[in-house]
Amino acid sequence: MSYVPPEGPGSHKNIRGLEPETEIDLGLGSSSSAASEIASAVGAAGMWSPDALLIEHRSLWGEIWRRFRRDKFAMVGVVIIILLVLVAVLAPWIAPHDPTKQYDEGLTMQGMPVGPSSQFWLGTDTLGRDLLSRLMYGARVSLVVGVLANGFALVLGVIFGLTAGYFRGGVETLLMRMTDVMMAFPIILLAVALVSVLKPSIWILILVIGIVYWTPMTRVIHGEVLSIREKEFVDAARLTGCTNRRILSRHILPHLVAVILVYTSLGLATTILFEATLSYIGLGIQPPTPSWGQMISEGQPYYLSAPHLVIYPGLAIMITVLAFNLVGDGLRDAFDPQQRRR
Amino acid sequence: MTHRSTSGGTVATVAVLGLVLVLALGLAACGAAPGDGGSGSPTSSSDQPKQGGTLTLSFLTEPSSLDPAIAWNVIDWQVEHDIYQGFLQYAHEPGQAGTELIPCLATEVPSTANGGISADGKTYTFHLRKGVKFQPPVNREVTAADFKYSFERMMLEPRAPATSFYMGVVGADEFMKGKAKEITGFKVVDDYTVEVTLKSPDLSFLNAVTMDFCDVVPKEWVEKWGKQFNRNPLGTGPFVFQKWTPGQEIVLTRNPQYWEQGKPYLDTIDYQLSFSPSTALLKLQRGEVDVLGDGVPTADLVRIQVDPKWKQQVFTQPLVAISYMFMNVQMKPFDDVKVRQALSWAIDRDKLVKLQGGQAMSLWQFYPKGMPGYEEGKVYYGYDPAKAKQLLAAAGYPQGFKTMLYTDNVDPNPKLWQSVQADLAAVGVQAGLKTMSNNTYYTQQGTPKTLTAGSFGWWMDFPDPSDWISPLFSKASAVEGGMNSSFWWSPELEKMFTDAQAMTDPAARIQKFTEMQAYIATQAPYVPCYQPIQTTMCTETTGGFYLHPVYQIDPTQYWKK
Repeated sequence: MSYVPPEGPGSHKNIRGLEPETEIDLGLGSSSSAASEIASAVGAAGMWSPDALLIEHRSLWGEIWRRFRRDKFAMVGVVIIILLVLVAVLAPWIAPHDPTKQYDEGLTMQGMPVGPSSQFWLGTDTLGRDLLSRLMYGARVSLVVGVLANGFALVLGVIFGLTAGYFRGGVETLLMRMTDVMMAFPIILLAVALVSVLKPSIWILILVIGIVYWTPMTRVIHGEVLSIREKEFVDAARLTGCTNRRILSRHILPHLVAVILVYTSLGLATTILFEATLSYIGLGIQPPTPSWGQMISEGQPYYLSAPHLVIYPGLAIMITVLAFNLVGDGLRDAFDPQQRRR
Repeated sequence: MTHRSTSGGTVATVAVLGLVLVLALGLAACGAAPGDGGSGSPTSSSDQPKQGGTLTLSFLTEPSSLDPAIAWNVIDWQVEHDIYQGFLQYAHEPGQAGTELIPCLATEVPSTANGGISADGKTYTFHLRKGVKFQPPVNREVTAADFKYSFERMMLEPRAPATSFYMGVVGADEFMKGKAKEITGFKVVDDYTVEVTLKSPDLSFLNAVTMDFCDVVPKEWVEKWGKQFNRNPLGTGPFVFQKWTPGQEIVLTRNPQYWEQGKPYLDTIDYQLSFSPSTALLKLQRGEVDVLGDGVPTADLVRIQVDPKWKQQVFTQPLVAISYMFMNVQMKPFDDVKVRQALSWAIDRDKLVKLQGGQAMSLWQFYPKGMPGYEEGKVYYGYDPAKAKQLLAAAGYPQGFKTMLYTDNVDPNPKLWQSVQADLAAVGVQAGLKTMSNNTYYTQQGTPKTLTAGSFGWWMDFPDPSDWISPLFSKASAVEGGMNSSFWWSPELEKMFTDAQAMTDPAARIQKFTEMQAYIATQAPYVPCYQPIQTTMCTETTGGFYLHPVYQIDPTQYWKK
């Protein structure tokens, strides 16, 4: 850490001007490699000039972004997610048909779904509804539920993890043991029980998934906070009289941003999958609103006679989950200061 | 954060290969067009019956009870028919012939000609077969006293759902109220003769007494097992109960001292439970299951009908059964008859038939085809969404209204009721659809003021319209645990029913029941939707397979080739 002198006279200052500026290791290595960098820059420039001493300013986030951008798989994931969000947002405009409209021509004479045709690009489902439109609207459900549920889990996880990790003692024991108990619960059964008792609706679904998924976040945050609170700048902050709240918000929380980002993107993959699972067993979104998991469940008896009913929603789920996982992995690698530069 | 390295090359290859594979499968499968489907013609197995072998049947739902006094579910009766017997039975023939009554534990069917029915039509005399024994380990001969015990036990049983069918027996009222120790109208004349006296003539009485509720049970066995009797059934039938592994299987074995010579053919019947119809079909094709208890699922119907190996094994019969939408008159806005009449025009029955691959018939009246009282070609209401909207507006709902629709999760109900939901939406009624398990649904529909509207079905117990009116439209059934899901009844209908039941001229009586249907239509407590056509399959090794109009699947008559 470095000591940043307070601003000059007249400027707003507070007694916390003595507060240490937290510094995050940029991963530029020790001073020796910095020196070698300078040397190579100088060598490349060919002559010793003041300009050659100017090293390109690398901000923290710029560096992270640079590393992330280099990860091809992560970028593929980002592209897919952007496309997904676009489809979900623009669904009412770009979907070829109304997803709940049951077309007479959507069924064969024997009442079976029709395959891909010029009218129904991916075919129809068991009630003669356009599959492509249902996939597009299903993206909305998956994303909304996934994001909100994950956000809810995130908030809970951060609060519990921070509290447990920072305050230690009885609070920590209580919270972490509670977390252990929650983790031991068979989550599908818990979700089944909760959704059966409460009237199924999208908010209940978000609540259920959130309750079930705050546990991994809590543990990770708890672990991180445990290590961060031992660092010297936290002691220094305490010495200068910062309240616990200020320490948590200004000194510890920023360090958690990386962890939160990584686990959020990985968590989105899991929550989307979990929503599909609950809809598959009939506890999630109620018909006729389409949801990918529900579409698989409805199409399952037809897997031999009309497999497109199962394959397309399955592919949609798979690609979405893969995209979020790729982004999550990429973020994790990008934030990791030990990562060898590529 | 831990240090992580990804070997990008491997991931890429695997991911791409995986995607390509799945896409290829998907595209290839889309090219397969559904077949044209001819109907499989049932070839009758004309080989001679053979003794021995095990027949395996697959059902999704397991019985709720095997106590004949209580059980009224289709699967309950399916298993009970192998174990219990009563005075009479139905001829074991397909089609119309199967609705004729023939003797079982009685030596003949009482009629006015043979004196079994008295001249005034009120007294029925049953002569019992001699030497019929209860199954092991009870092993003693059945006498008239056993029939009286079984009947009175059933009437007293608090959970018995069908006592209303027998309130016409003299002395039943007093017995039920606790004022008498026995039902005086059910008399043991001697060890082998039973005489039943009714308050007034009832042409459907013989059918009523042939229902499983009156099957004979041994007193000592019932008292030994008490409440567990429903899991330890014992009667006089061709098969003896061996074991019931809940949720898995029920096994019955041949009754070594069965009274009918040469029967049964099979050594063992094995009911496999909890398999979905799709799984059962796969098992049948592998030879692990002999008969599909729940029929051929719609999804696979077309595929099977064009498969040269299997299309011969498909059997169908129109079920004398109906599927309908009930509207609970205890809950708004279904208390308004105009609303119910309006919705009777809103549902597209032909589409529901199409969604079942043609394995159903559109129904425009309350009696199904095959039930006496059915009016050929008659259409009460029809399918006219514009008219439905108009009538709704006239009833005070020009913008429609919001409500909830319920059904169970047994295929194809969720699919069919999404179609109904869409039909209702087309006339302005915004209905949320909720599905639940079959057992939960069965209880909820019988609970007053719980479900607003939803699906229900009724399968024939015996071929007489009193089996329709009494359980579905009567005051006695509009109670907790009853089958009258709309909780609708009316004094006019009660009077018409009492009058009809007292009639002695069969033709005039049926005519009266037809008039009842017309009256019910004006009140529209239900919207009749379709009549199912039972479609099922058996393996080639199942001999003597046929579908019975009342028993449906009748394993006591099948054999293993």
